[in-house]
Amino acid sequence: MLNNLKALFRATTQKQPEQAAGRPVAAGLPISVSQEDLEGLRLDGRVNIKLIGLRAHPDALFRWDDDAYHHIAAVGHVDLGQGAHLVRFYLDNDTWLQANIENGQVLEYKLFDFYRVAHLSDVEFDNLINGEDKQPDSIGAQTVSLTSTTEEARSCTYQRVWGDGDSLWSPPVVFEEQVMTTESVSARHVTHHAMLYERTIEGTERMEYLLMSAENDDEGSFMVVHNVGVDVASVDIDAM
Amino acid sequence: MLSKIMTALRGKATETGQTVVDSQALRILDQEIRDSENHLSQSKTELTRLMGQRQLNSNKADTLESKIAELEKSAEAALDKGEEALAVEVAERMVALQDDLEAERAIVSEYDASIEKLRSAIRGTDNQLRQLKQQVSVVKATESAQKAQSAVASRHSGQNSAMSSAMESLDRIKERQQLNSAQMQAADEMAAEESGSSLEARLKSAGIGGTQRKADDVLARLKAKKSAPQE
Repeated sequence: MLNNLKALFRATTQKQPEQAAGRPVAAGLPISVSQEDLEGLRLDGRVNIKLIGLRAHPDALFRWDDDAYHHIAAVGHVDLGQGAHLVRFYLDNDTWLQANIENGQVLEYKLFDFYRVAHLSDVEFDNLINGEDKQPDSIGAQTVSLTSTTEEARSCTYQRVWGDGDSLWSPPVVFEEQVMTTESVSARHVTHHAMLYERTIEGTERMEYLLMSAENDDEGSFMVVHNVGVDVASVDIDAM
Repeated sequence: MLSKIMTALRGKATETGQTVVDSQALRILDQEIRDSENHLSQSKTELTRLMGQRQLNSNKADTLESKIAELEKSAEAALDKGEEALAVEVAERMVALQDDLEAERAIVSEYDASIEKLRSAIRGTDNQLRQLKQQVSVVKATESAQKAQSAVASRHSGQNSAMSSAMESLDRIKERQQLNSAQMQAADEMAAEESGSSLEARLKSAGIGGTQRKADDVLARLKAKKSAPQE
């Protein structure tokens, strides 16, 4: 009966809404994404990426020979709009791990190496992104050949992924990146003019990627970067 | 003595409480239905959360499987190149991932069991709630019908005495009219005797001058006419 009376009293009272449980949000990440969604990756954290299988395939230009934990020194965020984001974790060994996120879900991870970096003057940079004379292997070309930086002299050819596949040249994709570091409280702003290429690593079903990017950091520094990378499974990421 | 008084008071309090509960039974039932619906909704949210979590673990198991398959190829490639040490290292990684895979599969199985249990509980509660709602709806309809019946009954019983007295007065009127009618008939008879019509009625009944006689005369005439020789 007491329960019945309680039910009767409850009928005249309003229940307070429950508080939503909070999730840890780390600096530099999109608002809708927490470090839990990113295997625990965070600015100033450490990550061990296990890519031992890659060592058995010498065709890959991308090398990952160590099994150490690397410091995440910076986090970059690119808002692609419509709930799509790129989050980049810059490691202390000149590599970076990129998470491709859509509607709060990580679709894939790619690990890139700053394979080749060339600093450009203002004019050279302008010619690269605005010049009408499209040079072979320049950003936007249908295919790009990349020479190995190791002693072994060889070059690999990558096919363009973005843009019209039949077109000989496709304009680079422009996006803005906000980069947060452990050393500065304010974010650094970088404009990218980028194009993605890919090829199959011989003897495997894995792809190797070449992300060519002409970068302008809005502080007078211009460069063109050949980033070489591979797919990384979430199970290969051990972050802390 | 005191304890008996206390018991009596407690009994009275219980009766009072029971009366309150009984008089508010439908309101209580409605609130209990609302409470159950809230709990059911929470259970459904929990179920979708479990299903989402199960999907994440299942995806992770799929990733681990494809990763192990990929590493197997890498180990073979290392062996083909004669790099046995590397092949062993790759194999060790495969073993570690295999352990992870088994753990993930176990978690997925546990989720499956929990999901099935919760689904079954939700189905059961859904059915109970539906039945409860139907019963409450029947109880409400019955109560409404009984209220209507009781209103008619009370109106009817209130008019009973008036109706019976109306019937009695109707009977009295009928009786009076019958008496009037008998008196009027007696008066007619007396008037008829006085005017001689009574005598004529008596002759008529004796067969003189009445309709029967006339018929017999006609019949006799017709018979005579038929038996007479034709000219």
